[in-house]
Amino acid sequence: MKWSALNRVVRSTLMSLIFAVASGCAGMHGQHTTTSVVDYLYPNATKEPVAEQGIPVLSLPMRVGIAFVPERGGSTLSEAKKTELLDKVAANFRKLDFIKSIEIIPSAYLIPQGGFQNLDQIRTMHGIEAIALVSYDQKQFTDEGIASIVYWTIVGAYIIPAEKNSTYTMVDAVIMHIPSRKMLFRAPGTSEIKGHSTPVNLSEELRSDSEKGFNQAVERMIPNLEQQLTAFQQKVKASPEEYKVVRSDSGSRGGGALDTVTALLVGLLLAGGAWWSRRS
Amino acid sequence: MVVAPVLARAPWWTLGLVSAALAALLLPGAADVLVYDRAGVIGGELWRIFTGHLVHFSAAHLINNLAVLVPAVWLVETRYRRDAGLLFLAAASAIGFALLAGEPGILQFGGASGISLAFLVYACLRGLHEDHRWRAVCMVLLAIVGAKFAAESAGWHFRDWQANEGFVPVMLSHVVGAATGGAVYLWRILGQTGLIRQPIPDHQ
Repeated sequence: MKWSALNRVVRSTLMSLIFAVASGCAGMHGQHTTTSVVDYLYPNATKEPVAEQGIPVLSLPMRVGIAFVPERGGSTLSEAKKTELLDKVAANFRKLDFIKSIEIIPSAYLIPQGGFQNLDQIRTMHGIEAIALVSYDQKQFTDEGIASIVYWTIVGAYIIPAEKNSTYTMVDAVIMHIPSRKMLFRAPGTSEIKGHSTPVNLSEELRSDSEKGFNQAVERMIPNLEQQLTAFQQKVKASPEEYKVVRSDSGSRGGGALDTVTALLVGLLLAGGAWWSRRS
Repeated sequence: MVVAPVLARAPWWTLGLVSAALAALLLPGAADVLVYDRAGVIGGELWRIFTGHLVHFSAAHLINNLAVLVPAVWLVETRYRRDAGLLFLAAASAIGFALLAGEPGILQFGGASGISLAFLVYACLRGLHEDHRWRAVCMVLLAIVGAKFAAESAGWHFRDWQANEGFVPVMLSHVVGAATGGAVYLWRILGQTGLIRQPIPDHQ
């Protein structure tokens, strides 16, 4: 009897342990980082009216800025990574005829919840007329599968990649015309990265997935931006009452034009000469 | 039956080009559809290569160009009728493509001066084969055109009314226009194949 009682105690303890481990292993945790254009541009939107919008006067060729919307807490992306991503976007649009230049604005110039006041400062400092504000939303989940039971062996935590990681990223570029406070167009890009890791290198893997997610989302955003830009050009042509286009640089407009002296001289000689030669 | 010969002899190219240029200046929105717009042309709006020459950015711009265009086109049309269409199409396309390739900074272009010079140079080169009075006039005109190009390439420009027009006079259009006039002339007199070789009559 004594033996069977001891046996029951051991068995029930083991069962409890297995349940505890299994429930722990099957757990899920995640992290979420996000920035918002609305929060940056309209920080007091609930208390104050939204800035009045005017008719955008687009001076072509245009000087454009591009920047990441500033984070309110710590940043997921390093400044170097942000510059690399923004440069990738800018490179695709620098060749356009109506873009004079694209300035990459470092994060230090953007104040969280800075609103249009901050954008006006940037406009003055960098001499830009429009800005592409890139915001992002990234969620990372880590699920522990049943294989994580081997973590109890300690060695298993180093060699068995039983942590299932999912990284969902969305980047969104909003092109704002600063003087008129009007959004010209926007385009998103999304990505989904799946991976596995051991608990020991979990944070390293998540960081790597996070970077991959941003790279992929930005690459997918670029063709969307090009598509939206084409649609916007059509919209500007179709709705001259909504958007005014001004050629700010006279060098961009050329004319086949004769000066008055040459025009008069040649015109009179041609007409007079033809009449004179026919008289003979 | 008197009407038919009169209609046949009417200077349709001159009238058509002048009417189109006036319409492009006066009709609201017409210039936007017709002007040479680099992005539009690259995007497939190829008609702008031809119609851009009919768009003028002001009345002064139009009047100065018409002062040469009207007599030059009228001369070609009345003396060498069959070449008017060829000259317009050749000069318009040559200037348009030259702008695309050689002037990437010019986003918009308008003005018929390049076309005018094509007609002028062609008429004058053909005039060198004609009677002595007209030949003398043509030699003077060709000398003026040559002197203008030489002066402009040395950086010497007349900037009278153009200074306040908000556009840059494009020399390339003049050079290509004149060269096209010369090329059409050479094609007419030096064609080596039986298909294009033909004698130059004094008047067609």
